[in-house]
Amino acid sequence: MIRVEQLCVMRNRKRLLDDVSFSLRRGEIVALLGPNGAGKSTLVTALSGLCRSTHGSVEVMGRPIAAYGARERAHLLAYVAQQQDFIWDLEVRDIVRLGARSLSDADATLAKLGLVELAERRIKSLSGGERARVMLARALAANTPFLLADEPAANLDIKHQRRAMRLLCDAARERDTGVLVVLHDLNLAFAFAERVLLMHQARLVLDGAAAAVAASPDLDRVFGERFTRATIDDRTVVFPTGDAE
Amino acid sequence: MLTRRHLLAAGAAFAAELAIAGRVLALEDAAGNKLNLPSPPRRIVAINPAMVETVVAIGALDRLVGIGGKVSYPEQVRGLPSVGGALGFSVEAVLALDPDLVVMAVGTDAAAQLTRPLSAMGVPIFLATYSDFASILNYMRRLGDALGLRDGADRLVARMQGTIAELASKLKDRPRLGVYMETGAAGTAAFQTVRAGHYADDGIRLAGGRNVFTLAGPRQVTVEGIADADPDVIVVLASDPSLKPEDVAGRPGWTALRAVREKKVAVLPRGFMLIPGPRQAEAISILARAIHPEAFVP
Amino acid sequence: MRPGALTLSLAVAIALIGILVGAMLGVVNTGPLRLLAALLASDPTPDDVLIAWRVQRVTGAFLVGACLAIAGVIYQGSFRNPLAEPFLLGSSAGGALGAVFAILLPLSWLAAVGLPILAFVGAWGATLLVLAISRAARIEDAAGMLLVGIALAALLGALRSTATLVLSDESVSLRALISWTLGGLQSPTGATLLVFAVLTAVCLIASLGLARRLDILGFGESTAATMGVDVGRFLTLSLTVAAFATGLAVAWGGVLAFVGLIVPHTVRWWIGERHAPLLLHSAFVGGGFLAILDGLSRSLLAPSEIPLGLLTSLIGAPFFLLLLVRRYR
Repeated sequence: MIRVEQLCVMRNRKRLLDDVSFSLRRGEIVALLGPNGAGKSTLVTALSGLCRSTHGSVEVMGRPIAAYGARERAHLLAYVAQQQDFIWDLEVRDIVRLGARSLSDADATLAKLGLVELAERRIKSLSGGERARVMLARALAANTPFLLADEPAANLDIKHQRRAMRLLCDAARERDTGVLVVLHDLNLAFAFAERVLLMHQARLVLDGAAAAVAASPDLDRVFGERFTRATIDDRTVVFPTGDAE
Repeated sequence: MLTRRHLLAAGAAFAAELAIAGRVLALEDAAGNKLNLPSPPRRIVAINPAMVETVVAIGALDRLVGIGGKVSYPEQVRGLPSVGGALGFSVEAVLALDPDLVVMAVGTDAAAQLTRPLSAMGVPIFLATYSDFASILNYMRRLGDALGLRDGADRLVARMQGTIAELASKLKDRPRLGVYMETGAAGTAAFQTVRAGHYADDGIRLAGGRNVFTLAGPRQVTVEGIADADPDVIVVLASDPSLKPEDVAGRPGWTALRAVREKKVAVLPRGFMLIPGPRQAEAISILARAIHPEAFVP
Repeated sequence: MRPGALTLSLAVAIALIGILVGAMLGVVNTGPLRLLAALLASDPTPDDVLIAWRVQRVTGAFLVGACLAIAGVIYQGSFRNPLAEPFLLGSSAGGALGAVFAILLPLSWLAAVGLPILAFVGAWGATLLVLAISRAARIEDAAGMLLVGIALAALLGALRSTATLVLSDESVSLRALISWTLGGLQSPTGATLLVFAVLTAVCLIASLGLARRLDILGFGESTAATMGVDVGRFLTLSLTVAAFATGLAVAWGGVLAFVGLIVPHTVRWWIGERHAPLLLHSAFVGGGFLAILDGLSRSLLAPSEIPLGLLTSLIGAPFFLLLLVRRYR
């Protein structure tokens, strides 16, 4: 389990995270929502041990994240960055293998994500959406107890967005992976996540079941939009219908 | 490194132009105006080792007021003020000595750095141009003219020619041996040699040898190139005083050279052999002893 | 082409052909059978000695080329910049400074080994200094470290010029010095050659140990960090290996520009950018390339020797410009 307590991150006298506390259990899929600049990416990087906290703590499996070596950390957490560099024009199969602990994990993940026919293509010859899938595959192939994904759906078309989310759900269910996924698409979050965290101005405003967050008036306040809500197939769907008062 | 070399080359070209402009260069400035040297110069700054030695050898030691920083011969000039050297020459240091003549050699750092500013200040300059051995004697005579010491210069030249003539008589029955002269090396790489037209090439000839690398020949050679030229004698001019002929013979592949197998390898001090001044005749006799040791057995 | 047994055999073939052609070229060109006869001669004639020397020198050139290619790949990988070169870290500048001291100070007690040792110490020292400065200033990104390297290279270049001017007098041939900094292949023989070969092999093996992490570094430093690479520590390790290779190359080959750039790039086009095969193929191709260039430097204007660095720059600089044009157009 990942436990975050009273986490504060300051950079250049700016408060990027302010007193954030929550926990992420294995096997659950949690969406992290919030307008631009709310601190979502900072929270994800803090969880992955990439940014030092000013105050508070991040514990993974009972130990502070900073106490793990880079290699140990890589066995606990996989991370899909929002912006992905591809300096080297490697083949898809090689990229997925770099993330995997074994060749069979890599091949299984390639098959599961429908990347087999792309396996021998060079990454720079792929479209943005295909690249995003490759990076997701690379992270899933690591088979870690926790997976942090920063907008993995950003470059994908609707079909692949849903497919990617389903893969994350599968990982949570089948492999008992704790998934924290940053999303911009609120309905995608409400449709797939069991729990939703809502951030606003460096603070965690809401932490609750997807339906509860979707229903909360805080959602309108945080995004500065008046949302109309509908329920389809037991899922809450929201539509922006104008500026909030 | 390259820029500095370019600068040097540019300076040399500029100075050479000056030298051609008039036979007695000391009497003209850079713009070609006649300089009036009302009386022979009394305060002389000589910069390069060969220039200092020549000024002293033709009898003007008492008029020397400044020298270049790297000059340590003859003994008597050691206490004289230096006008810089290692990191460049100082125009101000030269001017502070209030010279009425500055003596430099064409193609050197000093000439490249000082000629233009000093001539602009109206300081008379003597630029010695030389390439082969005869031209060394020639600049000595011209310097004698400029200093009003032609007699001293003639005596110096005669003494040098005497040494060479004496050598020639000693060597007259000797065969002319092929010589590879090495003027520089970096470790076991970049072997440099001399070409025709250089006074050291004349030196080889006057010492009873024949430079195995000629006019169109190379400046940097490999051991294969040397083997192909097949010298009878190898003369290495080295800066390291501890270098021995055995060290040269021990270089990779050098046992392929006939001269090495016949133990005809000599190591001579580079700093002494390559100063184009009064001691060049002596340098040539030392070279002759290296090439024809049997001619000097008493 | 996908890297595999076929491409590796091709690379080894290039290496062998390079050594063979390099050894055949010289003041007098020699056929392959004559080479073999000379090497196997029990009672070598002077000609045999010369040919054996040539083979040793070409083998030295091969090892220098392999080291430069390995160093080039590691620097490019570590800085995530395919245009990086052993020069940029001040590595070559440090090596050249050490060499200048070795040549200018008559260190009789070091004699034959003084130049290689000081060149090596200089190259390694410069890279370690870049690392130390980066550490002290808490510079962790590749670009910042590169800037430190460029600044240090300038400083070392100035020191080298100063040392050249201060230490040289009539007793030193500046021409030899300049020529050496343009690439002067020392001729290692016997045991020295063996030591050099072993050290080069150690470099290659060590670099292969870095390959996977160099691949990962291409995803960016933060992704690499989450994939189990301690970026700071890894850069220390990888740059030390690269400096070791550069030091070896400078010690035996002087300052040879662009080999560390041309070779890895050509190999990238050929077999792709995965570091393990890239390093392996580059080492062989780089060695073969430099062996042929050494042959050319000894034979084009025979009996003159063209400083090897002039040849590498004549070929390398246009190649580099071509790369730039392709990259930015």
